[in-house]
Amino acid sequence: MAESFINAFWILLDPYRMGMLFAGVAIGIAVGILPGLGGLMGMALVLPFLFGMDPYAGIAMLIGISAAVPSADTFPSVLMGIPGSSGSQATVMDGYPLARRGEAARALGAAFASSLIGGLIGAVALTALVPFARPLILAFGSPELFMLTVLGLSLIGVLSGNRPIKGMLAATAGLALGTIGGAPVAAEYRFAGDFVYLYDGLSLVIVALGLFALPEIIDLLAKGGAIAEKPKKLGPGLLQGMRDTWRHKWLVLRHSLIGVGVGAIPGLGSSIIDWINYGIVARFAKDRDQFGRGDIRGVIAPESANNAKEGGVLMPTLLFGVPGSSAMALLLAALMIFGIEPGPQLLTSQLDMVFVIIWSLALANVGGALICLLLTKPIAKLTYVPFHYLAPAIMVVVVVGAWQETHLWPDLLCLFGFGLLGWIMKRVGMPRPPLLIGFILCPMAERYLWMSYNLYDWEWLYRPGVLVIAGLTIALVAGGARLKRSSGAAAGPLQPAREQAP
Amino acid sequence: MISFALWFYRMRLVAFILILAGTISHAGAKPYYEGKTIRMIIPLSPGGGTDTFGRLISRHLAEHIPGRPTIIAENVPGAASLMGSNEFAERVAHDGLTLLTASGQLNLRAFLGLRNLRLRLDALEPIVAAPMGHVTVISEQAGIKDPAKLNEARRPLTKGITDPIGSLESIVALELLGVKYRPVPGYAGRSETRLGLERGELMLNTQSTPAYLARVLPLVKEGRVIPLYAMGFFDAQGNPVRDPGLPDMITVPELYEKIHGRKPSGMVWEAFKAVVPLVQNTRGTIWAHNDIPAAALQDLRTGVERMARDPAFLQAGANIMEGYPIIHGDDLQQIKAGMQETPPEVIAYLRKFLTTRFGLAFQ
Repeated sequence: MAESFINAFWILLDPYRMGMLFAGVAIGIAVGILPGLGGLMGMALVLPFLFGMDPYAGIAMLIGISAAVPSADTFPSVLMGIPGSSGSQATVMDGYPLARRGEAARALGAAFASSLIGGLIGAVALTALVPFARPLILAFGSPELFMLTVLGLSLIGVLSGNRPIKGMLAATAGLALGTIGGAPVAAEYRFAGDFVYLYDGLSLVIVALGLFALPEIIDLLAKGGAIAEKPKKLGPGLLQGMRDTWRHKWLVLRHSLIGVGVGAIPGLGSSIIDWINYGIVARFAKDRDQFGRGDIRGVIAPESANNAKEGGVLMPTLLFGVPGSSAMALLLAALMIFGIEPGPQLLTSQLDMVFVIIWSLALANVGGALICLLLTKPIAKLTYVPFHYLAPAIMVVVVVGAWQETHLWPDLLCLFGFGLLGWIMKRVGMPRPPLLIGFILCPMAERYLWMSYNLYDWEWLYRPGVLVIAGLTIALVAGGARLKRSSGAAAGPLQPAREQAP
Repeated sequence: MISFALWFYRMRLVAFILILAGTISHAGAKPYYEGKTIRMIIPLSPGGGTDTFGRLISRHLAEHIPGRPTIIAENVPGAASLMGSNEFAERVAHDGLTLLTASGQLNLRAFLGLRNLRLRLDALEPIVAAPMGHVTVISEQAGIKDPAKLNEARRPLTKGITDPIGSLESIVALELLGVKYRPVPGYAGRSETRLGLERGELMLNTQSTPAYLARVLPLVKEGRVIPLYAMGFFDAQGNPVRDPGLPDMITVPELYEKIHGRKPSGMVWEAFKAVVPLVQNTRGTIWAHNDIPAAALQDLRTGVERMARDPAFLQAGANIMEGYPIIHGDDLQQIKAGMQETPPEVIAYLRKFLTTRFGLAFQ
């Protein structure tokens, strides 16, 4: 096994393959910086070129893309408050307030350092766990997955700050919006009528862009000035951010492992991972006042997790042929094109390909994060440009990001509709993350609840996994409440900073 | 009365003009597709088996069609293939410059007339198709060792399905054999149902033959799973034949005979015979509109014939076709003919079955 490990490194070191790896990293960075796109789109772009390519090079390129996107998507999240991809929505919560305080470089430095370390931990975890992952992945059936969505929903509490009622309302609205479209377990389409467009439901990309991007753009234009309110020296910011990451290294480790763990469970998707990590770090931190106003931990935790998850989602993909995220479905197609069958036999007969994947993941994370660090200074200067110069370009990018998925004009209607909703929510002080969480989790929760019932009648409630996760959820909710009471603070995390309610 | 000489003269004049016209048009004739671009609509997200097949064809067919057009594959996902299919059916010109890659499930949906799907198979002409067989297995936890005793299960056997039409052929097979099963919808894909089988939450499971050979066979060898039957194929004469990917496995009609002691017959059997050939091409079918110019259709067919013999295509496609040859020419026409000969009662039966059991809505 050690021999394959080293052998794979030499295989990858071939100039053509390294070139393809870094081409993938470059594509991933470009796709990550533009909001609304995502790893899936980047990989789909290169899919036609995979036919007839050397398998190692092709896989290296795809891994390069998927590893670089979670690093680079921090740029729009921090600098403009626009979720770069579904994997970096939670970074907006604290990253953007930091940019508004003039500390964009610090936030970005911390984010990329966390991304680098998180990605490496993901690769190491993949190496260590993949021989044992089979029974762990098999242990999560529909009932356990349902309980995990309940756990996710319990985070709404922490994300509502001291406005629990408004948070619940927003979450309920999100759950309702999530029901639009095809029912997960029956052959009916809800709230869609004869609009075929709505059969798939609303698109997460468009909802997130509308809710978070448009209100910020509108408010900034109305206010005037630049994104950064107080000019501050950029220079030390970057190193300061990296030092912050080192200071919180245990946080990085903890959240990377959570990212890997949640990513390895097939059926949850990857959009919820950074919210779960943000919720956990906000809940368990001592001194939670600054969350939502620019606490660097609110950047470090989700960023390490969403890079580490790339290692996690590879586990069900390689071991079972079940994609751990939508981008992994493309990787499976690529494996099929190259004649590689996912399954346990990969570990015996194709071990060098597995290690090439792992090495690609590690190198792409390091390379991607380093390139992003180099780009930080020039790009962070954008926060000092008066916003009315930037706004048209940003609007175009946001609209194209929403448009590119299906090229249908209802996409734009939805984008502006949610933009309006997001702006109203900001005005009345209703937190927006719970809406997004409800929206993401609703189809999953419904699907797994019905499947659990169909498979096990009511016996699924007694399963040990279910009880463990239920206990964890209760502990999270109760523990959070107790921490809050003991700290004596009247306000919880995510205080609205002036009128900037997230 | 015209004299014979005049008549003869006229005939020669007419003949001469006809020959001249023919020569001119032939000498000036260039292939229909020369300098043109064909758009291949793939109504799915990138990355599935059908998408990969569509891209494979897009890449290789182009150089074999007379005139060497370019073929560009375009994903138009949404609403379980409805978006792309409706666009192909209604919003593109019928000039042979747009093709559709359909999965077997889409073929079934169009065949049955699912609500809001505007694609009609009788307005289409198949160009090339890719077959794939299916195999059903049972978990040893169900306590059944012999496929012939399938009907004697103690309680309904759980079967994971993605959506009712997506799993229709396996459901109809179970209905035909008279097995008590309990469908569990909600699985995202066939791989997820296989995961459910491995977890022990599903008793019955159907996979494509290549997926069975790659990932379920190890479970069979461990004794955790027992193979039951292959769906089988139907040959050009309409007789059931074994799956070429698994020639040793009995097929549904053979198992029926084993259980009930006679050959299958009746409405469910007719439904089975109607559904299986359409789903046999699960990997993908490339459709063109059937009212495109005759020259275009002829050139497409010529392209397919040449591509099928091209060693470069066969080598590139080996992994994607997973051991099955492409269907083209007469075999393809046979499938279309079989489809058109399906009695309307069978379609009505299938629709009623899907509506009462699963709540689907048809046109």
